[in-house]
Amino acid sequence: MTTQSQNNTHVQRSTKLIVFLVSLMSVFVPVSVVILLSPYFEIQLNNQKEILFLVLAIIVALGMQWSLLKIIPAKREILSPEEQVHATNEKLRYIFNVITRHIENATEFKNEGVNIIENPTDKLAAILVQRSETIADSVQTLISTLQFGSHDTLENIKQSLTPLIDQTLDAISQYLTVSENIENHLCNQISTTQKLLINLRSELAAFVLNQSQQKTPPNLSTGIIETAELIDIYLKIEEAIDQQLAVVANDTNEAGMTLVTNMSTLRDSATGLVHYISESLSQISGMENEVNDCVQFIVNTGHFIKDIPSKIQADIQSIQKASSVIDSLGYLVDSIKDIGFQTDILAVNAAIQASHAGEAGLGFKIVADEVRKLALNSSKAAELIESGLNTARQTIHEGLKFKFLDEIMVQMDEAANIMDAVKRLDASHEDMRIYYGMLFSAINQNNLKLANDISDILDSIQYQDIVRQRIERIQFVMQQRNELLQQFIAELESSGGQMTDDFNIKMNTILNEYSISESSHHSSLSLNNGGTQSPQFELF
Amino acid sequence: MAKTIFLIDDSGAMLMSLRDNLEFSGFNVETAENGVKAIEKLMAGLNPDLIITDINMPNMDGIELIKKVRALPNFRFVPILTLTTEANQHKREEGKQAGATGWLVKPIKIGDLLKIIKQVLPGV
Repeated sequence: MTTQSQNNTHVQRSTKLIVFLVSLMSVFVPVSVVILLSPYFEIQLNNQKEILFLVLAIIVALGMQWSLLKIIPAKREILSPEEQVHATNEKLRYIFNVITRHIENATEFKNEGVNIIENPTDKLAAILVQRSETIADSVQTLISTLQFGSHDTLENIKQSLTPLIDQTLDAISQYLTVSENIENHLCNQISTTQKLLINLRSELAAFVLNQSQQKTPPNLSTGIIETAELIDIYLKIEEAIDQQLAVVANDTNEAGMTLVTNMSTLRDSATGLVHYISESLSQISGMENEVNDCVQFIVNTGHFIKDIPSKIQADIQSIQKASSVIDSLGYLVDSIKDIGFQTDILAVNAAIQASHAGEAGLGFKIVADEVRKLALNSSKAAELIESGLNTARQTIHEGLKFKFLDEIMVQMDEAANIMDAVKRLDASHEDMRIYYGMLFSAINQNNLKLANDISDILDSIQYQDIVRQRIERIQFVMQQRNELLQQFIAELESSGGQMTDDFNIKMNTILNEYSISESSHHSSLSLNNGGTQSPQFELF
Repeated sequence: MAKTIFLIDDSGAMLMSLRDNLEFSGFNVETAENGVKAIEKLMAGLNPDLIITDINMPNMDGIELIKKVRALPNFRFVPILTLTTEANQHKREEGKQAGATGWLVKPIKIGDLLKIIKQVLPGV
């Protein structure tokens, strides 16, 4: 124990001794006076009463001593310098622990922030750009396809465009969810930090007040004041960071709203385009049906006309066949006539022979007469057949002539119909050409609108870079500040309060540089940082 | 013949966004993630008609990049635009002294960027 400590103990003992004596005196003096003066006041005291009085006096004295010692504040004790340093260090250590926890939370935020803010938005930005490119390509293909007027390709494109828009909407939705997470995370961080700031300031104020009420050695007092000032600047930097985090949260919200609006516009444009294509497809379908009908009619007529010669040929062959049959029948008639003539001659000969035979030839004569009649009838029949055949031949030839004329008439009528059909077809093609021209023009306009909508969305993605840079500057200043504070803590603990370096100036420098740096960067998307807003662009 | 624009930015999102918009407008676009890679590409034979660069980049910032590009014999007169969040006058002056042709502040709409490109690139 040092002399100081011995003195302290001496002081403690002497205080107790004084208190004891005072309490003893305050009891014994009145009791002694009573005992001594009892004879004069005719108070009869025997030995027992005197002993009882003494005992009571001792008890009362002890009780008073105890009470007095209780009333005297223990804080009146004076600590040795080492004890003072130890007590101060304990308190400082407590505050530094709180700050270290805060630094750890901030580091965790930094790491979490990078993951939450940077990586997903980079990936989603890539997806967004890719989807936009695909939509733009699809519409470009649509434009090229329209030049050929293919119905199927239009249908395919219409079917592929709608899911593309839906997929892009999904990507946007994910992007917005991430933005919302960023916003919530930042708002929680700001709120937590603010509470911590309030607590820290209160503790610091209480600690400084507490220290000022004690009689601390001068170097310790300076160290405490320096610590308080440093922590105050530390907290100012924290407030400056919180301001920027609020800007980030606001920018995220604004950019999210802009993205939603742009995407809605894109969806409306694309939906309009799809609807327009659907309407056009049904109209084109009607026109195509008409064209097909015309074409089919022409094709059918063509087939018919192509078949006519062969049909006529077939008819002619049939007729020629009939004629050759008739001709062959004519030969048959000649044969019949010959047979009839020969038969007649035979009958005449038979009649002559019968007349020579007398009565024996009478029967034979009758037969000869009958045969002659038969020959005559055969000749008449042959003539009739020949006449009939001639009539048939004539009829066929006459009929063929007219039929051929009928065929020609039909051909001419069909030719007239084909001309009508060709004219209708030509008109339909002209209608379609005009219609496709209008369709091309309308879709081209829609495409330009879609392109502008996509450009707006791509422009909105730039906010992600602005926010990222702001976060990087925050991370940098936090790192500088935390490193300086840790140096300060190390030196404070090792030096016992006798600081050699001016940490406050360094911390202030960090704060000032950060404030200047933030003011030199472009302000928030909608907030104005005050001061002069430089122009958006300038050519030198 | 389509003009070639060389974009330099450490932000992937910015490069994608700008490249897509510029290619859609009819330009050929080459990109680099930082100043070091940009210089490598230029020395390897890339001959852009216009360079657009960010300022705050790791390893080599935009101001240093502009000085290095201007020191190359083939690129003393190629237009160089900066596209950055830096808005203060002092930094602009620094860029101008280094040899920048113009100073653009993010975010910028593609319509405005195309107007500026028309002004700095003849024949566009």
